[in-house]
Amino acid sequence: MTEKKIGNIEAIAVVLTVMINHIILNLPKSIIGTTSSGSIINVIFVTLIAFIIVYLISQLLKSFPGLDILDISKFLGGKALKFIIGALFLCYSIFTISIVLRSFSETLKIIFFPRTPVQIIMLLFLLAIVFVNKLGFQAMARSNLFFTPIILFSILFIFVANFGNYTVQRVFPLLGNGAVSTFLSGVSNLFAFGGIAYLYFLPPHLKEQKDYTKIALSAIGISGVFLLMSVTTLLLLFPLLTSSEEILPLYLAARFIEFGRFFQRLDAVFVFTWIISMACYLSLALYFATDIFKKITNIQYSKWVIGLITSICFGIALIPQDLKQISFLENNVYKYIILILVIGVGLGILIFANIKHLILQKKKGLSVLPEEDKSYERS
Amino acid sequence: MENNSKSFSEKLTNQLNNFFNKSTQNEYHFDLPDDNSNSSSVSNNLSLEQMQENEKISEVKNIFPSLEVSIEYIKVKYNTLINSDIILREFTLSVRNRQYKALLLFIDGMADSKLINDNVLHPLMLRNRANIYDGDQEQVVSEGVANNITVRRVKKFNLENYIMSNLLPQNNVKKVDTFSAAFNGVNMGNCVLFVDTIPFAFDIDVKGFKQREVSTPNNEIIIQGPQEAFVENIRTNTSLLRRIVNSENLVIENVEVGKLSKTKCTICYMSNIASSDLIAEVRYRINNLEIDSLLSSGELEQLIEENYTCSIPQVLMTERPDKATKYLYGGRVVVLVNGNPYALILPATLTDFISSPEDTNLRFQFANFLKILRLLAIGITLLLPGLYVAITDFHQELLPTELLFSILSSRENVPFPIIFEILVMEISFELIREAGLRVPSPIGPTIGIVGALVLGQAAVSASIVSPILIIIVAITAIASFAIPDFAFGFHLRLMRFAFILLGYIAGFFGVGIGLFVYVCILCSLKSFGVPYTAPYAPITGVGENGFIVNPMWRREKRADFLDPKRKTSQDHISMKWKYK
Repeated sequence: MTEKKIGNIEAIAVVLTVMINHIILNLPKSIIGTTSSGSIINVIFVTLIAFIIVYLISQLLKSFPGLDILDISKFLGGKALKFIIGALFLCYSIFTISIVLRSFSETLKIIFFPRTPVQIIMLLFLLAIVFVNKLGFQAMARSNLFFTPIILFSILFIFVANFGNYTVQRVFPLLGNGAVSTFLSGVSNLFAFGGIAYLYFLPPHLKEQKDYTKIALSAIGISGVFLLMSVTTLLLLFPLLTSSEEILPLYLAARFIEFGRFFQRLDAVFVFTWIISMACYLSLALYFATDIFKKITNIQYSKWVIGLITSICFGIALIPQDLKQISFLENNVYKYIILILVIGVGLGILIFANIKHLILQKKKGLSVLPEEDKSYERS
Repeated sequence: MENNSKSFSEKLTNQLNNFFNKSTQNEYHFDLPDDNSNSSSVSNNLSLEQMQENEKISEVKNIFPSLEVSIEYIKVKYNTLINSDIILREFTLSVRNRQYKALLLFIDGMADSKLINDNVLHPLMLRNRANIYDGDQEQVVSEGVANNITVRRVKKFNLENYIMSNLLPQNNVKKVDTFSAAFNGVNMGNCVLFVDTIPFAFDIDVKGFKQREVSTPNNEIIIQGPQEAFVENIRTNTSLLRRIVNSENLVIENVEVGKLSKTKCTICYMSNIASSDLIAEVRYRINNLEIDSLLSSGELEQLIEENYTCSIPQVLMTERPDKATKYLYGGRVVVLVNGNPYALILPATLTDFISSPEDTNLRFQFANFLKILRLLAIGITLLLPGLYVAITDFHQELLPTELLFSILSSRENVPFPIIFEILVMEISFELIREAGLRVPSPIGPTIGIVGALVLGQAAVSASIVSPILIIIVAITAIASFAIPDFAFGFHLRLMRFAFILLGYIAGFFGVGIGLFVYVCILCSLKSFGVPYTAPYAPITGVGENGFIVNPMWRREKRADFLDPKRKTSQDHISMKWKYK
């Protein structure tokens, strides 16, 4: 178990990796598509809501130190609930891996390998993440300490280097399609913080449980800032019509960057960093999926689970026929899964578990964590 | 008549045979028997276990009180009928009018003859003659007077003590009671004295074999700093450390490795700085090596590192006592192996392989500049050829138009694909490097010049490779030489081929995936329990012990990932003359 424990900064990097990768993908485009010129205000608004939700989660988790949502579900509703919640989050993880893998591989195919079958690109990714998963969670989390700053810098660089190309008038009207669209229906843009899902599984991996709130809020804050940067870049750079192009929006923004006559096309460098970033994200997501599977099936030391989950992800990733379907899955299905499962179900479980915990505490006047959960924590 | 005709016909046949046929010679052939074939040798038919069992049976542990028996045993063990350099000097030792048979055992060439003559044989054989007095006299241990009565505490005569304290004017004499200990001493260059009736022997330090003088380092050259290097002799090396460390807290533990070679190794550490757990772990690993022989620190390194499958070095090696001392004071453990001029420093992290022993001697600005250069060198060595292949094959848009035209025009006449070109040049470079190392030193530079200039120029003229590729390979080669640690540089040179292939297969995608996996492997490694990528991953004391060298006055803390006993290495205000 000690090999799975990570420090605070590693934990922030892990959560950031999950969130930032969606920014690199089609997330900003999707936000702009929903709220048009009101996107900047909308992003600030949803970031604030995300802060509140994450703060709430961290407070609710305080009653269950070192336990993840599966252990808490078991406490709340026994093994059956643990299995149901585990299966839901497992499906979410597998779905996310598959969609992200397919989406990014299709983009790479368009940019670099027009004659290469997308399966080959996907296989190379999968081989790498399976190998890295064999090295363990600590190695993956630590590698994020090297890669996350580079990826954040790439987004910052695109934001700063495009200053000359911005059309500031594009932020108007400030509320875009109106206040209702920006603040009410725009709440659905909370899916930008889909990484919250992994916050539910982080506690058993933390060396310092007491810093959970700090870790979660820092990760949300940093990803909010970078989400704002990327949305601003895209909004000020492209007319709304262009931003609906089926390719990485930040890649398009990177193509605008020029340094004199010599460096005119730096976009490949950015894609290079994003490839690494995507590999980081996929490997972490695969780890969490494997971890959930092992927990709900009580298989702790099996070697074939990683291969099995990877094969399922590969199979599912091949289901969408084209980019349009992938885009639909990303912008609609994925969005509502996050809203329902991650924010709705996750928070619901935590609230009810806390209520049960309080009731039992009042009844017995002492800690009521189930013995098995405590033994899990110790192991 | 009949006989004559017969002999004539035989002669004729022989002559004809000699003329037409190849003469049959009895050629000598020698083949070692296969594992499966039946060998006439009894010992070859025995299994290892049986041999070890037999050895145990014939092994005698304790020294016999009878010298005759001991001599016979020594003769058998050392094969004195065959071995020419084993000297058994039998003589008579006269003590207190009594005569004892004695034997001096040593190896010619290992022990100092003059020391043996002057300090061992002379006092035992000659000076002792004048030492004849009454055999009943007893040794007075202490004397006191009480009520005008003298009370003496006497001790009965003891031959062993007498020899030890009166007859051996040698500074390092040990009593050994087993044959194995005695033979160890003899094998190390000592002489061993056996005396009849005494059931143990005297191991007398008279080492006198030829050894290399302490000279300047060959492979870790620095401009500012000491110019001494370790040598092959372990005692000289420990003395070099002692001289620089200059503290009684330096502990030098002896360990023997190798069932047959019994190679002496020393575990050196500062008892008041190094973590006890770390010391125990080093001791545990070295003491648990079941091998027949250990001949170098390189072999020991491979036996004690955590991950033996990957080529990344996890233990630091140095030939510089000053560097070893610096790490000792930092809380690390240094291991020396007899017969090898390289010390192992444990544990090692990635940043250690980028550091030069000179870094702390230089002003921090210079040191940091050099460190950044080295980091650049690592990047170039590892990635440049791979990135070149990736860019020229997949990402031409990244290059400015003029540069792209220049590359394309230079490759116009080259008939081979880029991967072939670069592999040919990289392998050629490795060949030149290897040949330059192996040939006698006067020819070495010639090989380099012929290889680098003539061959490169000829390859370009013959349109086998493009000039731009020569530049890439040359920059990579120069960068690889800027990496201070040989093993780490070698590892990067090896990994470069993997990145070339990845760049060729999938361009930036391949290189990116390769880099991701590579960094994850680095992050998964541990050296004696310390994360290889510390202090950056996990982040711990980066400001104090990171990649960047702090000014001398700010090097306050020791690396906390080593869990040292003394956390700080200097006061918060070290320059008390300036700031009170």
